[in-house]
Amino acid sequence: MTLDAYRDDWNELDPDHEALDEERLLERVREESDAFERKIRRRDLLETLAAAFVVLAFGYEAATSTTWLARLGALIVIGSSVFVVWWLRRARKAGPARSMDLTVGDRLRAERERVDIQIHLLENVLWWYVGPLAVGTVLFTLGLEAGTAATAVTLSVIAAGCAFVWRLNMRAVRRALRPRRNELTRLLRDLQEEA
Amino acid sequence: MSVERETTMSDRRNAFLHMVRENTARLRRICRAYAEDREDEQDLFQEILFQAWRSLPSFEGEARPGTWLYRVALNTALGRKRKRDVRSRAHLSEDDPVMGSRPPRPDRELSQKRRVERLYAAIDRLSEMDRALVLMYLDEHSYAEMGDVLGLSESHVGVKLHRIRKKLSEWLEDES
Repeated sequence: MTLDAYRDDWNELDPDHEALDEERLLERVREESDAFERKIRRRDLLETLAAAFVVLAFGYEAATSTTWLARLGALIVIGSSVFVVWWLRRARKAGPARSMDLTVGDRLRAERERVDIQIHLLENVLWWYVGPLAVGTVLFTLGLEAGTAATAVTLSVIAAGCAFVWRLNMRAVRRALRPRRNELTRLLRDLQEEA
Repeated sequence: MSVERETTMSDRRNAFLHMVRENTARLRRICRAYAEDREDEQDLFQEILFQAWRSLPSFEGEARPGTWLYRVALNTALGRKRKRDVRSRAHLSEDDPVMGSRPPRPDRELSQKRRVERLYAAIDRLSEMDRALVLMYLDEHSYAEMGDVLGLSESHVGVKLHRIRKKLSEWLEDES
């Protein structure tokens, strides 16, 4: 039996007999679409609220601290928080289109480009996220009270927190993003190979 | 809500339903070929419809609606594995009213069904990209349409399809 004969069976055995409840279908799709939009809005709101909290808390400290070192630290933390939110939104908007109606080849290339942007972001998290915040909090802590046991404990906690965040990001690159990039490269190679 | 916006929503709704109605069989075949099991198949079907609904405003008619939907469906099916953890979705069970109920098949369809099952089993052995091409071939798309969906030239499609058809035919012969 040839493949063309199988094709006849394939087309005759139409799975279209299954009836769709169109109203229910539309309702489902809209619900899901709304839930997706809500999730994006919630994420943006949470980021903004977190940054606003940091700005308010450290803004108060910057205004009331008696030492210039604590003030400088607080201002660096505020600047870093605002920068992080701006940087994340810019990175999300940058890069290739996210449309699902691109050709399969273009979609795979676009997705790989976005994964590259994410890898770059996470691999450099020390410079745009962890580093500036760490410098700010360290200066702020030293400005409040230097040389005490409490300061040493706080600085250790800051160092451990930074190391934890950095490791978490490196792990995400290693375990999720690199394999995803390899998978996309494999699919593209598979698509482009001729024989 | 303004009259203009209501009209736009109504147009979008009608265009979407028309497109889905015309292509349900094709979409189900894609789901069948890319899903891991029956439940996964229903989830993928729902995911494709969701992506099509979201992408519809960008559809400008430069491609046939069926070809456009095929692109969305394949991109969703291929990307789904990578995105599974990103978005939590409501599961659609087979009992869900959206899926409707299928009337029982008459006996004469059984042998035909077995052959199609054998064909699906062979398609399962292909790589994801080869699977996409063979699905379009079985759905009687032209080389130009296949190229338009995948982003390949017609000659490239021809070369790849020749190889895949040969491979599939051998497997199917071995099994029969």
